[in-house]
Amino acid sequence: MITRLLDAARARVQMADAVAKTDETLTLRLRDGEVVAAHTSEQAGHSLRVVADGRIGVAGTTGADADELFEAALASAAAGEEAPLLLPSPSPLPRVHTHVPRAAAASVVELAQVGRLLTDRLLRGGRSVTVHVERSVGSVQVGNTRGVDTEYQVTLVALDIDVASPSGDGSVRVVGRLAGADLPDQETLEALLGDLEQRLAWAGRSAPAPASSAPVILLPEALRTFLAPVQQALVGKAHLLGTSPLADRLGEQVLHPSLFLTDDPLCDCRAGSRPVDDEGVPSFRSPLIEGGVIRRCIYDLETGALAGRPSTGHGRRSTFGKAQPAFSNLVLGAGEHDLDALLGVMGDGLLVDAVAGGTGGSSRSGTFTHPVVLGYRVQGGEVTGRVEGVVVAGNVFETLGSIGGIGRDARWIGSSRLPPLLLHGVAVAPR
Amino acid sequence: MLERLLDAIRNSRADYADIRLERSFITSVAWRGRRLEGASTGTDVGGTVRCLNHGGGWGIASFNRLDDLEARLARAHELSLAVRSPEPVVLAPAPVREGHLRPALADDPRDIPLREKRRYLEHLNAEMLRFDRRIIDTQSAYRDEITECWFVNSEGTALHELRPDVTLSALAVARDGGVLERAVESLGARGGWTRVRDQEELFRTAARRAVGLLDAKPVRSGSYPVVLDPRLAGVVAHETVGHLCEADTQLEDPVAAALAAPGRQLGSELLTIGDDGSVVGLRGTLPFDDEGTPPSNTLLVQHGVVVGRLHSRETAARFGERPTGNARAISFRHVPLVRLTNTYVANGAGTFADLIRDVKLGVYACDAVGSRHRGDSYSFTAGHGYMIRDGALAEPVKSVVLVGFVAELLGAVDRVAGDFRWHESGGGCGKGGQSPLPVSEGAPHLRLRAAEIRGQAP
Repeated sequence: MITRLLDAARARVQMADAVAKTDETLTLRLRDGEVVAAHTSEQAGHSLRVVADGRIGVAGTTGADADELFEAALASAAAGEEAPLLLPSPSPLPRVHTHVPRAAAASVVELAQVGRLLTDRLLRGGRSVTVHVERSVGSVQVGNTRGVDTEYQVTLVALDIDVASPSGDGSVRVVGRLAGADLPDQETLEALLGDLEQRLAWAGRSAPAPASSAPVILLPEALRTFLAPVQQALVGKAHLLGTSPLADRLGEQVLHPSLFLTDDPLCDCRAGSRPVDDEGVPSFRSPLIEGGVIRRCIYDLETGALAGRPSTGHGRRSTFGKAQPAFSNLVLGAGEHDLDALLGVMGDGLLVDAVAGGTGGSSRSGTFTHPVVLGYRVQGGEVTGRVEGVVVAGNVFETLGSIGGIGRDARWIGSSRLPPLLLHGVAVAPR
Repeated sequence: MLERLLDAIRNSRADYADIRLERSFITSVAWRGRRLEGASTGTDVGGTVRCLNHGGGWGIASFNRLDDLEARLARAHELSLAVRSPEPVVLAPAPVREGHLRPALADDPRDIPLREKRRYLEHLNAEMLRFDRRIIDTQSAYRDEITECWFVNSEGTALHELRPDVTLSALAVARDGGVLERAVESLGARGGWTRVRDQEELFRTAARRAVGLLDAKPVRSGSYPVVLDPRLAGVVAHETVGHLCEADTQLEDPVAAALAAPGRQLGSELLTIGDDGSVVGLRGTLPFDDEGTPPSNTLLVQHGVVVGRLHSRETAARFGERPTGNARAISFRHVPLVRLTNTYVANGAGTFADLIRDVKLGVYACDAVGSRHRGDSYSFTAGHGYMIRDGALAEPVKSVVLVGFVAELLGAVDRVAGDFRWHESGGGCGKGGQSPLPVSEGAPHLRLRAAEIRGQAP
């Protein structure tokens, strides 16, 4: 359909681009080793953007009527905004692996077997184990009236493991995740199992909360929630509008010198990997924070044009609505300490595994209050048990100026690679 | 279309099958500051087939292409046979229903030109921009989605309905020196174009609140008597009692099952909380849920005691109870889960003034801009607040975050006012990767004897 849409556009509008995405996802849910639900989903959608009389029009469809889509985009342009949009011309794309044939070909039985392998190792002592196995196979096609015409294939295998283990009068839940373009290998599964067992052992006994001024280590799952305001502050639109706390601070040392954050779409086989963004801009690695210095924020074509900057290759489009700047893979630079050493550096404090999900609670200025869902007391550099009934609170940007150490054991959580992070200046308070 | 679906399902080899198809027409307009972000349209078409077999479980296939329903049914049937549910999946009995519920919308948004929608939102956005020089950014959004739905099952139920949804949202960002604050207001309705007209005050309120927060001081952390406004009280009821009483949540989460076990005294005896998907005209209201069950008014907590659960047909059978019409999906891409509709706290007596009259030092917490909850713990971030001093509202405060345990929060309610009102926000509820689902909340003012507030360190 893209070729037909762009042919029509060349005759009737100044410029146009389109993206077509397909996705076939198989999701299995296993409870204590049995597949209890199986869902397959085949989706396809087209998004068309045109510039007519200097105005942008956008329309999308999951149907098959190209003419209707084109007319809808023209109608949108008639009511649309003006923008100095310049579409990219064709250029060589970087190499990055986003598709693994054996993952694409894996059967229901093979995928269920991965879930069963994990369950068999974890299911004992009254535990209940729920595993979601999801395998997606898809394609992304991007084209524009300047000649860009590119397509790449994607696979994604995601595992979510939820272990509920008896504890006192109730139970404690520990969650693990994996995501990548390939089926996880044995080494990766063993590492995940070891990590889950370690955290289940820590959670098996109770311990008192530390002092309110105690240092805190955030494990990757909790760190992902904690870093959300930093991500928001690095989106170009927030800089353009002056609403980012980091606006006008590019090039300044704002955070701790040990902090390095990179957006990396070229990591092979990760959830956010891609050779080109959804606007046809080739992907490249973007250092966002280097040694605590704010280096770059991310732009799509339109936001970049408004800011007088080139796109950083971060345009993302769904079937409906316009492109928006979005991160690919976020990689926080790992440090030197293994977790034991980091605990030793901390001495006495709180190790935070998971904070409550949901919405809000963090402001644009970076203040946060997170109830700790799963956290452990550390005394004398050793984990002594699970702490209940505390919140962690503070300001993300101030806290990231007081990093006490960064772990070397980084883990992928979705499209983010995050190490444990030792922080000072986080208040630990009772709920 | 219904005949075509019934023909397809008659050929299914599954013990039970259903097909849900949707065709949606979507328009969205967005302004950011003085700039039009976009005015776009879309058409979303697709469906989901579910199959169930004795000794197996749910096999599900979702799709965009409608041209080979038999193949979709075969795929779902095949997946169903691969499933081995530890407990047999049984559906509670339901009568066969037939219905064409396609009311004509007198003010169908599809009849309004996109340019007019753009102009209207530009006008509303300007209300925020000109409110105060300290307003540095705005985000205004309009969206309509008119969805035609078809549902058939192998028992013979065949339904056809129209689900309109229109929303407006206003976000204002104010800045004074290094202080940055924002406020959000929104409106959602199951109706047409006229339901979102004349909303200038909604947008001025967002701007007024953002500017007001610039001068507000963070509340000092501590334990206070707290009065919740009806918006926040409704959100608290939804997030705590509402989600805890979803039967599928209870099956998955032993903490929820224990907290909301029938007969348990979960809150103050002044609290009565329910969920009612049959209230006329609210966002959570539907003639049928996504399994073809009509919604009902389900009491969840009566005088503080848990008395009910919300169900799909599957969970109703599991618990030996009746389906409540709460099986809902956000779109054809998803399977129905047990979801809330319009969740309410029943009215009490007296006025807001009665609630604060004998409070010497307390906090009035208004609106909810965030909630975090898991198991028995929660945090609710109020949009804004005021101190209560000597029985009267005093200075505005911000960074008002309620934290604690659900049972303590609900048990602390010591007054329920008689000023109940529904709030129809333009947001929605999230669960199991499905968000936003249109819902409403309603409540009167509630007073908590004491609650932990996190703000600025004391």
